[in-house]
Amino acid sequence: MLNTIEKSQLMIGFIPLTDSAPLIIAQEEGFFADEGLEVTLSREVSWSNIRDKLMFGALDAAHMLAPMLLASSQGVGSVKKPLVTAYSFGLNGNAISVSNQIYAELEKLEPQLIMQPQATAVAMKKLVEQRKQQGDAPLRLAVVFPFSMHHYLLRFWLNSAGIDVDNDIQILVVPPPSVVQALEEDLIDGYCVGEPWNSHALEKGVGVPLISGYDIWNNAPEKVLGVRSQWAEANPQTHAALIRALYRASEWISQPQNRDEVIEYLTAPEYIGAPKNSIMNAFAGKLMSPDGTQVREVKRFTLPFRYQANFPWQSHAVWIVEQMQACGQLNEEMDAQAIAEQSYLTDFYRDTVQALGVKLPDSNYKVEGQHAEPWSMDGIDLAEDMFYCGASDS
Amino acid sequence: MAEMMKVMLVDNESARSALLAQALADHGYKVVARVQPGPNLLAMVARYMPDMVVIDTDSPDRDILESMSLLNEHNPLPVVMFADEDNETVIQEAIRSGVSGYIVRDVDKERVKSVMNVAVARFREYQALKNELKVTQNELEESRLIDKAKRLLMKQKGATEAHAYESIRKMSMETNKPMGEVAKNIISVLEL
Repeated sequence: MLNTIEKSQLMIGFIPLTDSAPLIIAQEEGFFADEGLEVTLSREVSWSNIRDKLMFGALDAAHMLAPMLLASSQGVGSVKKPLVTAYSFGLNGNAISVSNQIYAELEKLEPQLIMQPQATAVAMKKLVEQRKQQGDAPLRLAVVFPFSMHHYLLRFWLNSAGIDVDNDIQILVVPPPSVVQALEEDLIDGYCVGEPWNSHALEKGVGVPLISGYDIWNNAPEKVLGVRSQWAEANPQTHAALIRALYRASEWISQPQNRDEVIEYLTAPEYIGAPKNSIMNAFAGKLMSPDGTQVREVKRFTLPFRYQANFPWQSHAVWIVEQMQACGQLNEEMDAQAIAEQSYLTDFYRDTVQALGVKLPDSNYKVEGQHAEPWSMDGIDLAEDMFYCGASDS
Repeated sequence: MAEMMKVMLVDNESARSALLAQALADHGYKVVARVQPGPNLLAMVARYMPDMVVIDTDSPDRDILESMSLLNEHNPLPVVMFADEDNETVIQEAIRSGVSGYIVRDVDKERVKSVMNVAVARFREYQALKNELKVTQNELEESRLIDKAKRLLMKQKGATEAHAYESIRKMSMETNKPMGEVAKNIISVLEL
């Protein structure tokens, strides 16, 4: 198998976040080496950098926001260059946090908010109306990038209560490591970001994680492994080897006996470099009120492997494209399904992973927003997929 | 001299920042601010209203600047950045793409002006392209609306196609509103 690889030395970019773990584990536990790959992991500081380096060939592959891959492929927000993916870095992992002051005001409007995620958006709506009446400025909510699940989950949640996001909310971008500071300095009122930056705000006493991404869309996509379409065509065996290594790494991460080691690796300064406590929180998935009286465990705060978490569903891509269209980032006339099929190489993933003897779904799509419990597709277990408060798809 | 291009420098290395500021001033740019990176970058941009921002590619705050023109169309800013010298191909490609310009990390005074000029020119081209795209999109949207209004008039008022089109055009002239807008009004009334 080794001699069929077109390119063995690879440069792969990642952003220091807990969901980059499969890259780190594949490197450290030798899953890349087993495939004959010599990988250099390049820690990047911004999504813009990762995108540019991938597009211009400085990186072979990259840990990327799924919506960014789709946007770049359509030339939105960047040069147009077709990017593709055949691997998803697991599901979920985000939360929405607000400042202490906003949290206190929300609790006055709807008490026990941590325990009832379904009441949070309604409370936000009441607060927005109250602020309008008082002539206060719109709430300032940060996301990590305009093309990110964070942005669309936040909008979905606000929209569900009838909040006019374009007029009544100011959405801005703040890089993940800066959100807590921005909250502390009163530059923003809240944000949607991945861990450990939600737990971190609570620990520092500057903000409160209100609701998890899982509560907004059960088992939502997040990051994918992006490569250039041309690269994928020129290096199919290398691409397949990468996917096999990452699949094995994801499986390894999901095994409880490896948990401590995963955390140990992630804590290393060359990888995430965050304190052990924060990274452990990311796996624990607990939301808590500042006084500790309300504690809610989110059952799949992150889902790295189980329930086909690495399967690049084209239905995920379609949902993302539809959100991009809904908020005016992408022309409404464009065919979401065609875009999804261009960028999500689901068949390639299936062929590659099935060759390992794993049974995978035959379909590239699944209906989203229909299952409140884990269910089975052709005998394969899949996780629940409900939207916030049972809202329907699109 | 024509209006000076206002530049804001975002850099935490003050020596480099000072050198670049001097080089820019020598070449006719007005350095309106030298600021430290951080989440208050947006407020800084709002305060100084620069035409251009120079920022290190190694700064995570690059995402903040990128988003500015995406989330707020009224504030287009060309962004010129420092990049590692060994990334020359990346730099070339990026400049050719017209989104941003790059300056190599060790600031060579003589090169600053040409790099800045290229970046500005490319940025303008990119903006023009973006605006053109927008115009085309608007035109498409307008013809779609007119078409829909036309069909509604034909169906509900028994008008011929020519007659329907003519009445939209007439209304547009009378009310001094674009045809697309008139069509939109017709649709909202007839679709009730």
